[in-house]
Amino acid sequence: MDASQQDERYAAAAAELGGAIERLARAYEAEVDVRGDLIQDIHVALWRSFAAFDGRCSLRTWVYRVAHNTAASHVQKRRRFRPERWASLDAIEALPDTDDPETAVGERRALSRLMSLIHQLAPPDRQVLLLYLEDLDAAAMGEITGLSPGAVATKIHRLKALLARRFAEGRAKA
Amino acid sequence: MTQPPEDHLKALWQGQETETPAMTVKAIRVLARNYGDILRSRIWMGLAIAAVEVVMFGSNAWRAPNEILRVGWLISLAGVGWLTWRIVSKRPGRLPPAEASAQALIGFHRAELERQRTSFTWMTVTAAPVFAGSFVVMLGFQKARPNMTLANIAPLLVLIVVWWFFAFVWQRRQSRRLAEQIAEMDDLTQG
Repeated sequence: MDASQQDERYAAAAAELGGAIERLARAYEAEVDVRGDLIQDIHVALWRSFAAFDGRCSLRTWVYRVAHNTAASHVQKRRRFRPERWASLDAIEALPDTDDPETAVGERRALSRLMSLIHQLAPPDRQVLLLYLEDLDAAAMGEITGLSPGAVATKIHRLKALLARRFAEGRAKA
Repeated sequence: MTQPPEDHLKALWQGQETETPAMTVKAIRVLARNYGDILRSRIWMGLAIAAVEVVMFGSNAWRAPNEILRVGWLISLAGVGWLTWRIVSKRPGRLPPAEASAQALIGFHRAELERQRTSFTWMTVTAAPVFAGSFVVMLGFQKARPNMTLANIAPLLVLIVVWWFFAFVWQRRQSRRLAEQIAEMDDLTQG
């Protein structure tokens, strides 16, 4: 692939999925300044990756894979300097929801609760939840995460139940 | 009929406000342009200083009381010309056209950084004629005032030593920064 093709592919991907990249960065990095660097790193990784893009998977799948890998390495690097406590899906399900659903009114509040839940999840579960929220199908999720279709289906099932339990009641009361 | 909670969350998630995505090509172009602007402003400042020196050395040569002093000022004048030419030869190149690829822009910026690399030897060769002229000027002063002592020329000697020291420190720091910036450009292309 020549340099101009690489730029064109990158520009098209950034225009189409720039918003999704930013949402993903928000889910992986809570600090605004550092998040800006992460977004830039993802864009650079994406641009670089298009030199090797062979079209064997969809553009969307490719972009998410590159973005998730970059964000995951960013989180691992940051964790060395600032250890965070992540919880597995099992542990999160067992934890009581500390946010009172009655006060969870308005979309901003719901979004902030969702973000806080995402930040607590360990990277593999976080990855699946983000892809689910971005509306990717199970096959694409499997391609991006490297999980088997069965494992993806199980995780989605559990994540949906978790979201339903945490948010349905709050919405009904809101 | 209400949406299932997960659909509502998906809509909420995807409906977040986002900014215009960062464009690598634009970012690199801005980086290269800013760097070029900094270099240009440094060169203009150097030219302004050189112009003042030309007037000063030229007038001193014109009014010199003896031939040695005149030759000294003229050597210094030629040294300023040489120094100016060496600095101007480091002027930044023209940015690649707007349609240039990111690879081309990275290549351009990397080459610019590489071109700005200097060594202490480069700086010595650049400044040497001016210092040679200063030495002859000192001889000329001694001829004009035979009772001149080392104390009379001490300020000039101190100035020269200070210049060499700061040139050495500046060159090392600049060299390190350029090496870092070049490595960043290499990271972009090599991963």
